[in-house]
Amino acid sequence: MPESSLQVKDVPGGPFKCRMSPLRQLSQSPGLSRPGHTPYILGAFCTKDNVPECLSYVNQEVSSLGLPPVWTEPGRSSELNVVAVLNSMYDLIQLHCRGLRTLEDMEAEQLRSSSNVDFLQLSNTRLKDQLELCKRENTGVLERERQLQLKVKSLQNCLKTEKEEVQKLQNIIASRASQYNHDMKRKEREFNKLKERLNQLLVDKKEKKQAIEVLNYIGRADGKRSLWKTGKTESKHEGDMYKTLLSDYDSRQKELVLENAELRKVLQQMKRDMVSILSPKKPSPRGEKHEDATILQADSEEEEEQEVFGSSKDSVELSCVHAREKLTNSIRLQWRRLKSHVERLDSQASLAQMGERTNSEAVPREAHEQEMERLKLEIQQCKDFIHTQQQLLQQQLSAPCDEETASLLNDCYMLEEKERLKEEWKTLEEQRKNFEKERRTFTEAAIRLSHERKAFEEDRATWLKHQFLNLTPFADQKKPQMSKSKSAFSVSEPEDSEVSSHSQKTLSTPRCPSVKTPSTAELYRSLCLIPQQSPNTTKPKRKDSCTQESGVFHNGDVPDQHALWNGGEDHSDHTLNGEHSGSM
Amino acid sequence: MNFSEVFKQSNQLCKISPDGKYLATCVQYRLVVRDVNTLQILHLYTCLDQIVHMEWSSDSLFILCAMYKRGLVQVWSLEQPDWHCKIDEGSIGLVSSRWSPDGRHILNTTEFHLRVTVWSLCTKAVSYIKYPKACQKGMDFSRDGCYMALAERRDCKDYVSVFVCDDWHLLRHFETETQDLAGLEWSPNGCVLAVWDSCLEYKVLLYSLDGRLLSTYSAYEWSLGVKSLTWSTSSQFLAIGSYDEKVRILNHITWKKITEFEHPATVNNPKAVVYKEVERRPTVASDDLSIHNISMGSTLFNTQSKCAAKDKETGDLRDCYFKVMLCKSKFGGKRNSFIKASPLLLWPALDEIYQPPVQIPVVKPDPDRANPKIGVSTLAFSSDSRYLATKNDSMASVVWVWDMQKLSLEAVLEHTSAVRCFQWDPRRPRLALCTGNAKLYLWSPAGCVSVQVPTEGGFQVQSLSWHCSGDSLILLGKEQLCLCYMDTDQEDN
Repeated sequence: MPESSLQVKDVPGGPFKCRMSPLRQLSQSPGLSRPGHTPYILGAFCTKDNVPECLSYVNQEVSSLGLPPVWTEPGRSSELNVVAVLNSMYDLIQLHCRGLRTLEDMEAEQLRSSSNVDFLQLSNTRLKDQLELCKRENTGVLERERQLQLKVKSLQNCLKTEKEEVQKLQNIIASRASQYNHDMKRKEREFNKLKERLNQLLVDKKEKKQAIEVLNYIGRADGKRSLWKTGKTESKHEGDMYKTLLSDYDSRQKELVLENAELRKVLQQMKRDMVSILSPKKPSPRGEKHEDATILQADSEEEEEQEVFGSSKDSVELSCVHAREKLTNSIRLQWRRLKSHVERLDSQASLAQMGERTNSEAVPREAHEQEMERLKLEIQQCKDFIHTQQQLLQQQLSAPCDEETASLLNDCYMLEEKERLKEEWKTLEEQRKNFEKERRTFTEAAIRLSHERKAFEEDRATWLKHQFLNLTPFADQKKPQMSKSKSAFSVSEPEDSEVSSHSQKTLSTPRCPSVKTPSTAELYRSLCLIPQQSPNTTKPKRKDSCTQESGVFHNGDVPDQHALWNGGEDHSDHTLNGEHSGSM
Repeated sequence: MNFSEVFKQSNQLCKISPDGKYLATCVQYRLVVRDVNTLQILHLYTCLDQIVHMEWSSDSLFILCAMYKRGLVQVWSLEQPDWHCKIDEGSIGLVSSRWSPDGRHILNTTEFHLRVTVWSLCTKAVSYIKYPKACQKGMDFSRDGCYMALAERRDCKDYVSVFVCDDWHLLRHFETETQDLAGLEWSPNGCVLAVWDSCLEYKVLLYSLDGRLLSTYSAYEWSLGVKSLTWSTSSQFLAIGSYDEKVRILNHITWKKITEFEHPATVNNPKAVVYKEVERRPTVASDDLSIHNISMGSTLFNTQSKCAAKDKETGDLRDCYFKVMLCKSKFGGKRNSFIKASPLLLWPALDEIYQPPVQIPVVKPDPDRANPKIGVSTLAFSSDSRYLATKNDSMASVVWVWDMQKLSLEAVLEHTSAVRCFQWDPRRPRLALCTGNAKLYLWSPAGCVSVQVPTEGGFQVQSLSWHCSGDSLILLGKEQLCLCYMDTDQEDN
């Protein structure tokens, strides 16, 4: 390219210069303003002799160029019109300049176009190459396609033949199978014949017959005698068979009924749950739509309630078709409602989200993060814990085994033991609390007892006094005395404690016989129990019966007291107390 | 866990009486009856030839000993040791002999399956049943002992006859829609009879007791079909194992498939526990803490083996029982407590593997051979029908345990050698298995355990059977037997 462009520059430059040399010399002379040269030039073209010729020539030339003539011949002498000459000269220079400019432009234009041509030529060749390539490729593809088509054809042929082959083989197999079956049957028949024959022969054979030697016959396993075969036995067998079948079906039916009932129960529960879930929505109608829905709901609910009761009633009586229909209908209804409900909720939720996305979501996210943090921390802690445990274990394991492992095992057992002990400790603690309570009740009871005792002592004193005073027969006096004592009790009790007299009466009646027997010593003993009670209570007693038992061991009166007190505190215990004192 | 001393036995003939009181073993031509508890010999009977088959009567009063080559059956009484009975089938031959459920009749199948002879011990009566079919399981008694179903072949068609066992009255006789009937089995409640076709066709037929066809089931066509079939003890499920390495479970109401259990070579189920037996010496804890569970077991082992050594020094070990502890490891992994039974010569228990994709060794069967070693050949429901144990023949060293409540894989037990025999505890969900080495393996929902049988002279457990109480196990070696007593009080549940 650069070469060509240079050429392009050079080639037109050479001849142009040559051709224009005289003119340029002419025109350049004033522009270059070389004073030394001008006389030479003038001398060459114009001398003193040929001025007019020169003038006419120039004039001619100038006029041919379309400029105003430099010199007008007829008018004056041979003097030059300087102004005109200068003007024409200026015009000539202008012309020349313009020509030069256009020339340059033309040169640039030519350069551009030539390079353009080059480029076009280049791209043309490239495109030609491409075309060639494409053509080649095309032919290749075509060739390949042809080959593939050939292949497909051959494969299709192959397939056809294969199919035929398969068909043939299938036919062969089928024929063989039938042949084989036929042969098998024939052989089997022969085999059977042989068997029959063999059987016959063996049966006929005399020397080595089948035989059974039994020392003595044994009874049947069920101890019965065998029965003759009659029509009866046959029918009995049939009957038995059907019985077993029936019982099987029965049991299966029962199972199914049970299963059904259970499933129904689940269903009903589900239904009820659904109803309960859906019903609270009812009182919040927003628009007409909802109202409509709620009315519908109410209606269907009533229906359903009916159905719920109905199905449970009818489940046994109604044919399953009915029940099923009802159930499926109601379920379908429920389902539809649930669906609509969920949809509604969905839309509401989306609305709510739209509304308060910024508010609502910010908080839970933080909460989530906090939670996550917390959980992570926990996990880390747990991991650490496990790790330390593992390390400890490892140490234990890697240490010389014998005793170490034994001790480790022991440790494990110890741990287990410890846990168990802890639990026991807890229960003990609970028991202790209970006993503490009981002890308190006991002390209170004891205090009451002491009061009672005082009253009793007084009573006794009066009684003794009475006995001493009037020596009447015992039998008559005793009963009123007892009633007196009773009254004394009932009087004294309300003073001592805030127990209602009503309960006291019911309690004191069964106590009468015990009052009759106890001596003072016993009462003392019961009183002495007050300090003894505290260690007793700490003993492990779990159940009431236990405490009663222990009470029996110590003293007959104590549990009575305890019961009495209990009765005073808790009215519901009356019957129990009554029983208890009765048993005493 | 305790182990008894070792006794002799031949032909793996050793059975506990149905009432669980006696143990009968055959040694060549002698029949030895022992007390199960004391193992003292109570009776000793001598038969005419080497015993090939031995069976208790249902009431535990008689024992049948069959000598097939001679066509002889001898019956012995426990009540009257001098009572005897000899049945000679003569030249017609004998291939199988069994008790009827009442324990008063003996059913002999003659050679070539010419007929079945029913001998009565109450009367001299003999009855014949012709045309019995020679197949995988051609005869089955219902669980209550009332009915017998017998597969027959007449005129190139399969028939089933249902007899009343009481007086051998033919109750029903019907043709089955099978090409070549392979077996039949009563449901445990005795109301449904499952009949299956030979392996050339996948077909299971279910007949009611009265001969009605209840349902037909076929999972697929053309390739080899049913290989094994078993009922759950509740009669609720029918499990069908087939050559496509799957077990299909049918329900008892619609007789449709509930689910199918596959036996893939890679266990992906994350909920299933895979126990893998690893053969290695017990080493004290490496620094990897993830296996501290196992190392714990091995350290336990160490201490105990030392105890054993001490015992060996001090006392005679052969005569006394081996007293062993069951150690409940509190360090167990994800599952509940991980029980490790550790007899004196304990081996580290099967390791627990947690990562779910577990590869299982598969032996590809030779396709050119008949009866290819592939497909589910053994199926067993636990006594409570809660679990199903299966074995796929192409993975002979693996036993699969399925949970029937969740209908999913519960455990995979992979052993170093092929499993010979497995049986469920008749009382508890506990599976015992053996692989022909000196170990006994136990699986229960709580965990897995392997126990070295502490006997001298390479006792290899070939087969095992539970005592009906589930408290003990008979372990049968090649020519020996030994009893294993479970520690019932320390057992879970």
